[in-house]
Formats: sequence, structure tokens, C-alpha cells
Amino acid sequence: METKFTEQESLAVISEMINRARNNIHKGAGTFMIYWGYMVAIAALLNVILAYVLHSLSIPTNYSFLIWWIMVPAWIVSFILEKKIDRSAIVKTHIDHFISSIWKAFGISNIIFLFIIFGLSYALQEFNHFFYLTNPIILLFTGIGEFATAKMSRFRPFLHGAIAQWIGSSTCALSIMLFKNGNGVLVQFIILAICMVIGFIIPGYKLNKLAKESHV
Amino acid sequence: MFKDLDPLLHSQLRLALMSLLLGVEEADFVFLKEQTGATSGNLSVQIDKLSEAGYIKVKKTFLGKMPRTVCKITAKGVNAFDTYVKNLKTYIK
Repeated sequence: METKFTEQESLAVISEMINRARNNIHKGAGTFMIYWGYMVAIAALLNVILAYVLHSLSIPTNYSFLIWWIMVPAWIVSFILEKKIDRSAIVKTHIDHFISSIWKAFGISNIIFLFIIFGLSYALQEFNHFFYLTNPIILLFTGIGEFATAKMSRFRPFLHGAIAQWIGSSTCALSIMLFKNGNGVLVQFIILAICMVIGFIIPGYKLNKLAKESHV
Repeated sequence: MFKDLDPLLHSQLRLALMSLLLGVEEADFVFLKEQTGATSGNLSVQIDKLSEAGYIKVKKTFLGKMPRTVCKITAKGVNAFDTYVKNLKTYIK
């Protein structure tokens, strides 16, 4: 069955459908942000706790950094989850594709950055000074990713998240000046956990709530 | 002067499908059905017509045991839509 219609109606159909496609937020759109927010926040806090436990046992606190290997299985789970969500998604917008590409670029940049930091530390046999840079620079990258996500998705909580990452990045740098004897790095991990809550977990839940409401 | 409107696009459901697909990377049959409010049978017929004209590309896969149809607009479809909108403007002016 086909319905012929007027030119005015034709324009109305075009604008309505384009708007529907553009404003579509699929269910569970914030799940990845929540997942990564929790993973990084938990790892950061465990790092701090582990450092204090190791210190009390007179074991070098540098071993506490090993907790970050948890990110390898976390990434594998995330990859499997992403494939599953991608296959079952009923629509993939240009914005989804762009945002996904931004975070892929973020992941690749982080791996290269960590490679540079570890490489330089090893080559120069100077670890502390380089490790002080890790959190501020990763938060700087996160701020860029979240800012671009906010602008593309026009979702304001991501913008607040991006600002939180940049403030966190600057505060991490300041913590080195304020806390001596390696405690600055531990303070950085607490800042990182706070940034994950403000920048990822809260906006992620807000986005999921919005997606749920728009599909009722 | 009024220009002829592409009869393939000057139909409510087909135009709605093309407008939806223009705004997304690709879309599932379920999404298109939800957004247009069309019946499955009618939607299938219109998708076939657009696909035969080369305006959209249809990919049929399986999600588990369930068959799945994913549609994507082609470059030919984008051009046809663009021409349709330009011609439509001659009527509106």
C-alpha cells in the first residue's frame, strides 16, 4: 500500500524522520562509561590501599602499581561486551560511530603514552619523575575525549565531566608540589577516582536514564 | 518551473525510510518499523523497492537464531534524495 501526499507533507516527513534519527539514544548508551568509570576508580583506590598495606609490611610500595594489570582483563571484557552490543544495536548513528572512534583513538594514545613513559623511565633509570606525569596526562586525554563526546552528543553532563577531568589533571600536577616523599602519586590516584565518578559514572547513569525515558 | 519529483521517493513510507537512513550509519528493520509505525509487510515491500533501485543496501544476517535485516543508504540514494529535495523546493517557493 502506498500513500501519495502533498509537497508540504513531504517536507514534514523529511524533517520529522531526520530529527528522530538524530535524537535517538539507544538503551544502555551510558553502560560503557559506567563500566570504565567503576573499573578505573576501583583500581585507583585499591592502588592506594595496597600501597599503605605494603608500606606497613615494609615491602616496596611500587608493587602496588601491579594492580593496574587488572585493566587487561577489563579491556577484554569491554571488547566482548562492545561486540555483543554492536551486533544487537538496532541503529548505529553517525554520532555513535564518531564517538566510538574518539575513544578508540584515546585508548591507542594512552597505550603509546604509557610505552613512552615506561621506555624513558627504563632508559634513564629514573622512575618517580616520569610516573608523576602519568595521571595528569591520562586525565588530560580523557578531558579531550569527553569534551568531543559532549559536543557531538549535545549531552551536558559530559561537558561537566570533561571540565572535571581537566581540573583533575591540573590538581594532580599540583599534588606533586604539595605532597612529598611519593605521597603525591597516591593523592593523584584519589583524584583520579573522584574524576571517574564525576566524569564517567554520574554522566553514564544520567545518559541511561534519558535513553530509558526516550524509549518509553 | 516545477520539476518532476522522483516517484520512488514521493511516497510517504519510502521517503520516511530514506530520511531516517540519511541520518544514521545503518539501521535495523526493527528500528525502521518502530520509527515509521508501518506494518512489517508494507515495510518489507518498500525496502525491496528502494533496494532494487540501488538507493539502499540491505544486509541480511542472523543474530543468534533470529534473522536480521540491516539497511544502509547508498551514494546513489543520497544523490536521489538530494535531487528530490532540490526539486521539492521549486514547489514550495
